[in-house]
Amino acid sequence: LSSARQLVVYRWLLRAYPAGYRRDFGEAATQTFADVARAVSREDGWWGLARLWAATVPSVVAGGLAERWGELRAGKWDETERADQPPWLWATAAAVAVFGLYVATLARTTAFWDASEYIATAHIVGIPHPPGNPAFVLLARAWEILLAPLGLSVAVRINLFSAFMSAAAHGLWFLVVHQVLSTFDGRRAFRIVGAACAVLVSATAFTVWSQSNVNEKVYTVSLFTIALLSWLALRWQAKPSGPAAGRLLVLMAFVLGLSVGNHLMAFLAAPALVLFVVLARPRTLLLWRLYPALLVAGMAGLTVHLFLPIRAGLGPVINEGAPLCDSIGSALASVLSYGQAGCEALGASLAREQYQKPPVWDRLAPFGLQLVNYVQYFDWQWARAIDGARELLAPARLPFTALFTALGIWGAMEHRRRDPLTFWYAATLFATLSLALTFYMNFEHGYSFALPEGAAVEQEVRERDYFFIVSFSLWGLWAGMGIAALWLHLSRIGGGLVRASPALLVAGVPLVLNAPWADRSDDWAARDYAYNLLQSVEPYSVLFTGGDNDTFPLWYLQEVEGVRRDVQVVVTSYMNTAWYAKQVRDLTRPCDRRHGAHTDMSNDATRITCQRAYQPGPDVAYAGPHDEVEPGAVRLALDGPIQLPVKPIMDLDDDTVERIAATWLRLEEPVRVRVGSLEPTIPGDQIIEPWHQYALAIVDTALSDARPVYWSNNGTHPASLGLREHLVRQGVAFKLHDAASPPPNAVAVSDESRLVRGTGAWIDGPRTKALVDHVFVHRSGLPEWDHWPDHSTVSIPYQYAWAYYALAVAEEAEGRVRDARRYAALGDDWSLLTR
Amino acid sequence: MVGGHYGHNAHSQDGPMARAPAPQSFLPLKAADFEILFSLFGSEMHGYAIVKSIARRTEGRVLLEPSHLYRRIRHLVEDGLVEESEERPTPELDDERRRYFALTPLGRSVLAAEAERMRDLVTAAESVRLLAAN
Repeated sequence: LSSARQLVVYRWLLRAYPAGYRRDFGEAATQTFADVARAVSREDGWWGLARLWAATVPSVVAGGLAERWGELRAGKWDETERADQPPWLWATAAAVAVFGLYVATLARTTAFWDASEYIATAHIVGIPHPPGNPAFVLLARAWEILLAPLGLSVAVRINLFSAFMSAAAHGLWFLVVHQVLSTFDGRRAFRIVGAACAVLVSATAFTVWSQSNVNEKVYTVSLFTIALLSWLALRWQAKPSGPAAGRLLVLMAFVLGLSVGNHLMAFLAAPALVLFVVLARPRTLLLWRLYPALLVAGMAGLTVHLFLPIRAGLGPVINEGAPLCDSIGSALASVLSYGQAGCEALGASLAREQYQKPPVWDRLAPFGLQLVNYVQYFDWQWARAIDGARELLAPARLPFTALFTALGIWGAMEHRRRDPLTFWYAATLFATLSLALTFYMNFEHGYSFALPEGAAVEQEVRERDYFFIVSFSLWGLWAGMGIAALWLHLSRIGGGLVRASPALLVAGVPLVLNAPWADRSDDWAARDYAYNLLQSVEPYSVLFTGGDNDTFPLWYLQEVEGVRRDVQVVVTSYMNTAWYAKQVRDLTRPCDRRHGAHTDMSNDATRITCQRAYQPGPDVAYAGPHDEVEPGAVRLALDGPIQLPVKPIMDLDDDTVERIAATWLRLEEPVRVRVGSLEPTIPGDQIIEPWHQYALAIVDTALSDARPVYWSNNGTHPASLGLREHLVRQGVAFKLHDAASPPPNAVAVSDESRLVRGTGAWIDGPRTKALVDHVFVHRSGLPEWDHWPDHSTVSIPYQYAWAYYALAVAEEAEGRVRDARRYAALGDDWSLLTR
Repeated sequence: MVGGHYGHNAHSQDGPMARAPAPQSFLPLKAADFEILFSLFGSEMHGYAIVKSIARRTEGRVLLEPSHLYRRIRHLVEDGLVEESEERPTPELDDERRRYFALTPLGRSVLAAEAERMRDLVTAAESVRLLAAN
């Protein structure tokens, strides 16, 4: 750094001190520092300067904070800060406090639903489900690298990314609310404390909190960009018309474009921003020269999407939608039209064609009921732990919901009365991210809605509260302003702010009453389920899974922790697409033997190359009769040696894969087919989808290659292929038995048993016993929990319950009654969690 | 100068008629305050000269960071131990950006009282042979 730049940095550092100090001694301190730096540079060179800076930075920061603390204690802070200066330090302190709360309750591993997908794609720079979230992937990966020296696990680092984004958003919200509250009362103490209350309520609203302490989605980045845009809008308003104000608008256009690369949600701030500009300074609309600059800036932000075709071309292991393009031109056209032109695969990904959402006028549920669904989630925000197991408007929660509704309304009304301009901005933002978003998302009936028996309507597969995170955050800010208004009101009738300050305790209600449900610091269920499922299958298996929760945690374990990459997970819900079928085929191609490699020996584990090797773990190892295992590892005995597959799981060329992906058939009558040595009967009266066809091809190829085939459950998917009666339970997986008669170890569950649908018809008792007793991991006290926190993942405790019940049957058949009772009791414990 | 009295509130100077506080009431001094007052004992000095003087006297062990130096000077000024000096060097030697500080009579008394307190400590340490007497 040049001398002049060093002084700029030093002056900036001095901001740690109060304004009064800076005014009286700031320049003198800077001058003295310049003299010291010059002397040190002359005598000790750059090394001396480096040491000087290393000592200076903490000294200035600590001295500044101590001086501020001294002024605070002496009641001097109102006078010493300039009224027009944004409270940067207080906002930073608020963000740090929020970050601390999220860290204290942070998930130390992955979670169900999309958490694993996003952690894994961030780690391997992969491509998550459409629209691909390139800005998220790049930012989260950069953050992960940045935190690498701390020695934290990848999952913790990515979860911290979410916490950081949300905390930073709340630092910006602090600045926004502080400015709004200046129209309520001029006293700085009132504004600081009021803004802190608003930030506390917003940050601890249930959905905001529970999305911030695990990176389940990308919406904390959206929250951050919306808070940033809001703050920039206020800065723009404070600037006089001119080039500087114009540059701020251009910056906002860039942030908007860039934020679309994270998720379209942040773009929903655009209507409120336009309204704000029109109301604040309508003449801005006549600045025609500004328009091209705004357009170019917005487009420049959008270009982050070019990451998608570039990375897709390199074949990452997770490459959802495979948004490949032939040329940069077609990719650009696709990006700038957001999927309406140009490259077909990228366009399909950006337009999210995979989900085949109907047009918004074709309602999937009555709009009124969709609003009830929103109200249900709103009810969760302020006291989730009160009668928490009751998801739909629990009576015991209603007083708290009513309280925070009233506080929010009061805050909003005061906001409107005192600062109409920012009120209309916030109101538009709130309406867009609640009402309009409810209409646009057009959800099916809410997951926890109790529908009439036999009602012919679809329900969402999970709760969707996370989509409304920004609206809950905004309402929290209004509720905080309501608390500030209450405080002010009480202070005027009751002798000052200090005496009225007990009213501020209301702001801590969501913190206390949401904590038990928002805390994720001791939840290992998803990670451990993935481990238990992956270890249930033999080396080089194909494992068919059904959806997010039996797939994404496996991706996390394989791609992030490197566990059991030899297993090819095949999620049937993606197997109706050609891109996915090609990827699973390519991931299992035999490696090039000319170079002596039988399995993938490449250094880049993030990209598809060829079959990945089975690596016995330190704790558990599958082994043939003559294989050795690590001392202390559990040996899971195989009848023969571990065999390396010689074929990919599907021996189909690209054209055949494409043709199958376009083939949907109506099967009227049952059909008997031959796969491997099996002749299952495919039931009639069903649609044969592409995945059925791929699955038959996979089973046929795998069985002829001695590659074990498993299913993660014995439900409708194997049944629709006529394979259910050939499945034998091993742990929490079901192995396809390649023979007409069951294996010698298997024990049958009576068809009469009410458990048979869950346990499966056949159980490999010795293997299952070895797995559940010596391999399975259950941390955080499971199954002794009071409740299973997310009812939409209740299939997980079911899977365990059935495994234990199955084992009870097997033990009873062997005459080991005591063990049978023990396993049955464990089954009961797990099934209690499903209620 | 705008400033609050949050260091030694008991010594705030309420006006010309206010009685000067006793030097002993400031003791013991913070190490940095003693060094600054000691540097100013001989003559008025600007900030960088104080830093150099302390560094030289302590053989480089104490290098006051400038913002910290002025933080302490701010408190010493508020307590009436130091004042900003109007006298400046001859124009050819002066740098108009520099600010010079000098001891007040109270500051001089406090410095002397602190030195005396230290001497008593040393004497006490010598009497129990914690330190060897000269």
